This record gives sequence, structure tokens and C-alpha cells, in this order.
Amino acid sequence: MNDTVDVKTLTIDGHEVSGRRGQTILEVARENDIEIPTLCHLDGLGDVGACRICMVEIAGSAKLLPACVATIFEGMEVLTNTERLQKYRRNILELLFAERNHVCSVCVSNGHCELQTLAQQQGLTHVRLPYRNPQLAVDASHERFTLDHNRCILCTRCVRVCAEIEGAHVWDVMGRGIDCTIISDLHQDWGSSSCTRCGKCVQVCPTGALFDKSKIGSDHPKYPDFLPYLNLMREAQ
Amino acid sequence: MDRSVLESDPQRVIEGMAIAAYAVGASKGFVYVRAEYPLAVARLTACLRDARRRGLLGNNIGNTPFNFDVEIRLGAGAFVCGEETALIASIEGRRGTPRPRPPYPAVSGLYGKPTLINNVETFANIAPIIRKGGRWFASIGSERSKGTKVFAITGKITNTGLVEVPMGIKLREIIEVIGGGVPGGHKFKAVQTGGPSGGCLPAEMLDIGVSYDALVKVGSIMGSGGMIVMDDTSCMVNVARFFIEFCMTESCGKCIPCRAGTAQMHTLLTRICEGHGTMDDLELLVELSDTIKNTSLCGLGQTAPNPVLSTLKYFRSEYIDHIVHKRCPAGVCNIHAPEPEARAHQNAGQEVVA
Amino acid sequence: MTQTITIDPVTRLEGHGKISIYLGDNGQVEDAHFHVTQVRGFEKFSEGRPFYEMPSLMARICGICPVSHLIASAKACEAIMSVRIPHTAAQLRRMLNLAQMVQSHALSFFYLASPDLLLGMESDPAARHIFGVVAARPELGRAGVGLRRFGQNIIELLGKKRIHPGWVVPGGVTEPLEAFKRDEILASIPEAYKNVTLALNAYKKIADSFRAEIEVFANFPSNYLSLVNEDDSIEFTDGTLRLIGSQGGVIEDGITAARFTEVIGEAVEPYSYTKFAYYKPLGYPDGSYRVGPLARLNIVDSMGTPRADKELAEFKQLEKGPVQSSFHYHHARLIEMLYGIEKIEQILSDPAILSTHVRATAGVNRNEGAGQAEAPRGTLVHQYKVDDNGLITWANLVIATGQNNNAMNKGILQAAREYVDDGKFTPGALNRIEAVIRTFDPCLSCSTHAFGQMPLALTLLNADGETIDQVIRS
Repeated sequence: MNDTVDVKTLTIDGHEVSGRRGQTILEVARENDIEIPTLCHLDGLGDVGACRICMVEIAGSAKLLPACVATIFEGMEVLTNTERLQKYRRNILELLFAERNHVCSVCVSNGHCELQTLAQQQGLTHVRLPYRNPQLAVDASHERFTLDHNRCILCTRCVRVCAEIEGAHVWDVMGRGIDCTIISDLHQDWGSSSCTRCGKCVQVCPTGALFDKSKIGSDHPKYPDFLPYLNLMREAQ
Repeated sequence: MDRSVLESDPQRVIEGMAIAAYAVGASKGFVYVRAEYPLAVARLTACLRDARRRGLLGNNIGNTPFNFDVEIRLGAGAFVCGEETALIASIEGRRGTPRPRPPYPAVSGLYGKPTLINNVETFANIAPIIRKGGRWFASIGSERSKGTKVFAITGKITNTGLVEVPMGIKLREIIEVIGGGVPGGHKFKAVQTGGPSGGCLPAEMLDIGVSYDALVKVGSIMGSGGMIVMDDTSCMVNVARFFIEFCMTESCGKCIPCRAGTAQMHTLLTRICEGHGTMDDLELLVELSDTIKNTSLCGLGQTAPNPVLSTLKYFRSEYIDHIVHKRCPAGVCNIHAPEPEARAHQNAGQEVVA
Repeated sequence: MTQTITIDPVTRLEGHGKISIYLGDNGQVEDAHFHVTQVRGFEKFSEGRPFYEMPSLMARICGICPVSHLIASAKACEAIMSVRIPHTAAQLRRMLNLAQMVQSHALSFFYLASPDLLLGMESDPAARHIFGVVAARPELGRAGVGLRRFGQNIIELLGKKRIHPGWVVPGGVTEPLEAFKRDEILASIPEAYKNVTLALNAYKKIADSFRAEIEVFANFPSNYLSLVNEDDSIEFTDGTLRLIGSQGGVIEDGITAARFTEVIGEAVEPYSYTKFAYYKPLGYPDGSYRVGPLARLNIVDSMGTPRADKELAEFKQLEKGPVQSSFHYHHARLIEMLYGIEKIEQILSDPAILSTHVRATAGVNRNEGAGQAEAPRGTLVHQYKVDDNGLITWANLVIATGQNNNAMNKGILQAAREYVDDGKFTPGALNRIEAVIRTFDPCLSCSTHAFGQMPLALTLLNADGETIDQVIRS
């Protein structure tokens, strides 16, 4: 396939659209006002394709592709919202809700939570899986922010923003599989870590796992929109 | 299989790698070995030293401008690092988790460079093919799976060990002739092929010729070449649970379907083994299997449901026995454990408990 | 040979009361126990949570009085933060608390008690419920619904939800009061006055026909505990606790939340999951006391609002000294409702109620804190201990209903003596005994049984545990 042509034409959900070589399916879809749900993706951060919510069907292939990392090719036919994909998305959400302790009613992010909003959008009405109810701790050692592992979905946005944008790389993942847990530095208290207190991780966290201590009246919307601008400024240098 | 090649004939692997490097213009090679194979590491180290002394590795090999050297990298106990992008991450010093492909390693691999990444067994085949020609290799094996394959036969079988057989050979011949059949007067029940992510095949499947396609068609995989034979004392539900437990503990945790899905499947299978399973649980198992299989990021997750799906396909009656009749036909499962508290609570939410 | 009569609920998992009545050798009633048979675990699962989450967690204890828990919890948190909240925030919380008190008392009186009071305790069980009241006395039914709506509406306006509202946080409240909300509340007050006056008049008319019940419904001398202001007027949100004796004399005064556990102890009985509060210097069970509307009206000298003051004066004529018959709890509730409406009107007339300074912020400045408030049913205390990061290490709650335990037992004993004869239940025993419990308005009887009746089973057991008589209502 000749890949030197810069402009590609493809169809998404039957709409003919075009994009540039190297663009992801998600980028092209958003440019054309076609909504593909995402969770671990955030504009301004590198993509990891980890949550599997944005999987789309490609005509002629049995394999699903994650729209946030898959690049477009000429003549691609993408389906973003088949019944099969909807079912997978709801299953993934069920897995998330049963994995840790997500109690919306008393959570600081109630009403401003991406997980909650996504579940409502996807029409999730109940969780059929057994709740695991793991015993997870709260790290309140930081003077401004708190980390509640019960609400973490391991999207790694905090890891990425601290490593890629702030450059401090305080957060990373420890352990494997279901025991994965977000840690600061080498598993030290957040309050005594190399954290610069910039607050970016709090703003990018989709749930109430990372939150500002002063915002505990369910009045904690998050504003991660500054990230692409930060990237722009850094590139300009 | 790969381990035995590294232990007994590491030169073949190095030679194959050098030939491949020459073909694609690479100057650096890595062998990623499990740290649990110290003999393979020692023998490979000695082999590399020897090769360098003889001018077969290093700069200007054979007085040509071709440079190529090989480094050994040790694993740290993660099964998932057998996945190519996780392996690459591990060599780079990062957490051994896979990443989405494309881009494939051939385009962007180790340190972002185009990388050729293959099994030890594959590289070991290269020198003989170069020497004897492609037609010779193609003459062995089946139409789409050429050459030979090494299998590790174990379990309820008379002769355990490694065998190298031509592709296309019947399963029955491997098990009954080479393996010597099931000992102790027990009856053959199933053979699990392909390692922990493989499928379990019943007696009716013994006449298929072993090849990549044929195994996939009946719900298993070639995988690592593992072949575990089971008899009437094996409980297929417990077998499925055992392999899901493995996948659950080896899951890297990056993607949700594999990380949380294998854990949930394990919970459901444990319930069934303990006699608390319901037909709803079975339905959930099937639905979860489909989701995990189709949405997981890498091969570990994509194949983790295979033991469950294949045992459900060929041994469904055993699941029904556990769920409906509360008995384990093979007598393996301890099916009289008391009802766990949490289960009663969730049921209470669904109906008025008297 | 001693016999035991047990009133056992049939199935269901919440709001359950179980009553055991013990007969002596002579077939006379010797003792009665009111059991609470579930553990909720709030004090335990709060451990490890950040302390500022406690108000919203604790609100989940109850669907009728979450505001009480919000306030007591927030006050405990403020003790940990070492802050005094802005005056406007205190007034706003006071108003929220009073609104809750009005709706909770309305529920208790109209939905739970009025079927017995207005239709009669012997009336047809099939119609002896709120809908029966609405059918027989529609204007009273409407009044009840109206008063509940009045309170719930204020709660919703202020806290965004009627059940488990937010808004109350450690440090104050999250938002100031907007003028249009104040005006909406003020506009609903005239109707509220009308409704409570209707109820008061109706009650006074029928009170005479319940002379017999008044005599035996938990009618005994006891101590009383409640919050009170320095000027001896009634107080639900601030103030300090005062304990008075059965003759009306002050036993101890000025008890702050921080001193609560110094002064009040909690005993454990093997037959119930609630604890039994008592005044430590008098020991257990002599140090037992009653809380709630009866206690409050016995302790205070005035309500602080004109109409309620008039009613209080009339109320205090019911007996010489403190009013001891628990039957009068119903009357007390109506007076408190009237006070609540008047006080809300008073609070809203201050222009400072619209001030935007409604929240103080601070971190952990002490490792423990306690807060107390008057819930509709009585005194409520929250006590927390935290580590330096603010995570709860220990929590203790003293609930109003728990402080009335001994009184309820005594009341059931009294009623049982009246209504158990010769080792058997007399007809109407079930209703009467249940009606005694209802005077206390314990939090058990309301959650699921607003319509219909409390699931109860009375079981008569001998000393060997054999059942000899049984009355079951499912």
C-alpha cells in the first residue's frame, strides 16, 4: 500500500471523512463531530490504549482496534457504535465498578465523574458481577491533596501527566494484574515524595481518586483543558 | 522447547540470529531469557564468548563489513514478558507491559528502532533451512504449517518429555504412540495444548493433524507447544479455574478486560467449583470470555478465556454437574463449603429474603 | 417457673424491633426487654476515611433525620479543625435542622401516631393507617402532608436533595442562601401555621379520651437530658446539655460535647445491639434518663417564640413538675413543630442571613473532636479520633433512641402488666404495646412502616423456652 500520500479518505459510521496520514481514528472522528467514548485518553497526554472503551470495528477484519492509537489508512471503514461494541463497553464498565469500591453517594466527584458519566451514557443500569470489595487505603499525607485508591481505575493519566508534562514522574504503577496500585516515588507517602504540588494529577484524574482537600462538598469539577496548551508552549521552546 | 534449545544447542540460535541480522541490516541482537533457566544462561554465555573469540560475532565478522553482537537479558519472573512489546519494554528497563500494535516492532521496536523479534525456536530453524534449502523444510509438515514442532508432553501420560515431530502429525499418534498412552488403567479425558492460554480437546479430536490453523479451528492454540494430558481423575471445571488463576496472576494489569476480567472469571469458576454456582454465573462466564477475548490489549488476555471456552464447549456436562447437581464427577472439587456471606447479601438485593 | 413472652418480628431485614416479656412464677409480668437486632457498622467502616467525609457518610444512617447527623458530624469535624463557623452558617444550619424537625415530627404524629389517636386504638386495623386518617379526617391528612412538604421543601432548597442532602460541610455550608429561596420559604410559612394549629386543636380535643393510656404509657418518674441555651430557652443546634431529675431540679448543667463521655456512660446489655446510656455519677441503671420532645419541654423555661411559648405554658400544666407520661410526647411534638415554624420565620427576617461568608477552612488541628445536636428524637452525639493526616481512627455515635432504651423497656413493662393476663395476651395487647413504643418515635418504627404496621410477633415463652402463646403480625 502506497503510504506516501498525505490525505486519506475513509468512512466512519457510513460518513465519508478525510484525515492526514498519521492521524488516529479518534482524532479524525472528533474533527467530524463523531463521538467515540474514551476513558484513559486525554487531549495533551500520550495515549496508552489501556481502557479498551474506544475499541471500534473495522470492515474486513475480525480484530477490533483502539481508536485512540490506531492510525487511519486509505479506504478504512470504521464502525464506532455497533451493538457488539456497546455490549463490550458496558461489560468493561461493570468490571470497573466491581473491581474496587466506587461509592458515588459519598464521593467528592459525585456529579463530576467521567466514570459515572460514561456509565450513564452507555446505559449501564446494574452490575451483575460480584463486587470484590478490596481493602484499599487513603493517602492523606499531602497538605493539599488526597489519593483514595478505592476510586482509582488505573487509567494512568496521573502517571502520564506527571512524567510527560510536569516532568517530576512522581506517580507510577506498582505490582501486577489485579494487585496493580498507583504509588508515589518508591512507594512513599505522597506528602514526603518529590511531588512539586502542581496539582496537575488532580485535574486529570477522571474519578474522585485524586482530589483537592478543600473541595469536599461535591463541588469538585476538574479542568484538564490546559494540557494541550502546555504542550504547545513546550514545543515552542 | 525454547529452553531445551538454549541449553543444548545455543549455537544454532546465535547462528540463526546472525543470519537474520545480516538479512535485515541489524548490528545488535538480544536474547531474553527467563532468570529461572540458569543453565540456559550459563551455556548461552559460554557460547557467545566462544563465538566472539572465533570472530563469528562482533565487528567485521568473517572479514566482512558486517558487525553483529548479542547480549543476554534476564527476565524477572513475568509470564507477560513473553509478549513481544512487553519483552521490548523490559529490555528498555521499563515495566514489562505490552503496548498496542500497530506500530509493529518491525516498524518501531526496541528503542524505537525497527526490530525483528522471534522465538528462539524460529531462529534455531534458520541455519538448517539455509543449508538444506526451503524446499526441504517445506516438504516436512502440513500445507500451511511447515517443518517440525517441539512439544512438551506431560500430565497423565506414560512417557513425559520433549518431542520434535513433523507438523500435521495426528494428536493421537503423539499421545498414544510416542507418549505411550494414559497409565494406571485410567481413561483419556482431554489434552490441553498451547500452555495456559490453550484449549482442552476431548477424545473426539484426537485425529486432527497438529498445525497452527487446525488447533485454532477447534478452539485451542499451538502456543508454546505445551501438551498436558488429563484422565478421568481430572475435573475440567477445576482445570479451567486453574488456568484462569494463572492468567489472573500473570496479567500485567494495564488493560481492564484482562486485569479485572480474569479475576472475575476466577471468582465465578471458584464459586462453581465450590458448589455455589448458578446458571446465571455460567452465562456471565461466557459473556465475559467473549469480551476479554475480543477487547484485551495483548495475547495473554485474548487467549486467557480459551481453557474456559473449550471446556464449556466439550465438557459442558461437568459444569452442569457442579451447578445443578452439586457434584464433581472426577471427585476433585470440595463441593461442600458453606455459602459465603457476600453472596447471600447480593441475592438479598434482588429479591425479598424471607 | 418463669415464662418468657417474646414479640418477634417476622422476616425483613430493616427497622426491626423484637420484644421479650418475662413472666414470673406467679404468672405476673416481671420484666420486658426491647431488642434491636441489627448491627449497621457505621462506627467501624468509617475507620480509614478522611474526617471531612464523615458528614456525608453519617447522613446515610437515616432517611428521616440525616440532617441531625450532618450537623453533629460537622460539629465534631469543626472541633478537630479548631474552628468556629461564621454566624450566618450557624443560622443556616439551625434553619435546616428545624426544617428537618418539623418534617420528622409531622411524620411521627400524622403517619404513625394519628391513626391510633384520631381513629381510635380499637378501630378497624384495615383502615388504621395514614390513608384511613385521610379518608376519615381529610383536612388533618392534608395538614400532615402539608407540614411534611414544608420541611422537606426547605431541606431540598438548601441542600439540593430531600433525603441525604449535601450542603453541610465541616466549616459551615458550601453555599450562601439566595434571596429568592428565602422568599420562597417565607411564602410557605402561613400555610404551615395553619396546618400545625389544626393539628394542635384536633389533638387537644381527643386527648381526653386517652386517659387510660396516659396513665400507663411509660408513665414513671425519670431524669431528662437535652440541649438548652444559656437563657433556658430551647435549642436544637448549639447550646450545652442539661440533665434534670424527676422533680425538675438540675443535676448537671453546661455539658459540652467534649465532656460528653466524661459525664455519660454507655452500658451494654446482651439482648440488644443498641447501647444503654446513663449518667455516670448515678450509675447504671439509676442514671438512666429520657431524651426527645418530652425531655426538651421539661427542661426549658421558654421556647423563645410567642405562639410556642403560649403552648409551652399550657403544656407544663399537664402535671405538677416535669411531665412524666410518655403519652405526652405526641403533644410535645406538636409544640416543637410550631416553634420550628416560628423560629424559621425569625431567622429569615435577619438580612444577614444572605451573607456570603458561610464557610471556614482549616486542616487537622486536634486529633479528636465531638459534636452534639438535638435530633427530632433526642440528643445526638458524634465523637471522632483522627491521625495527623486526618484519617479517622475511631468513631463513636450516641444515638437518641439508644438513650431512651431504658425508658422504652420500662414502658413496655408497664404496658405488658396492663395487657397480659394469666399468661395470655388480652385482645388489643399488640396494638397497645406497639403504641407505647411509638410515643418515643424510635428510629426503628418509621423507616419502612409508614404505611401499615410494624411487623411484630409477640411470643409467650416459659422458662424452658417453650412457646405457650403467640400473636403475630407480618
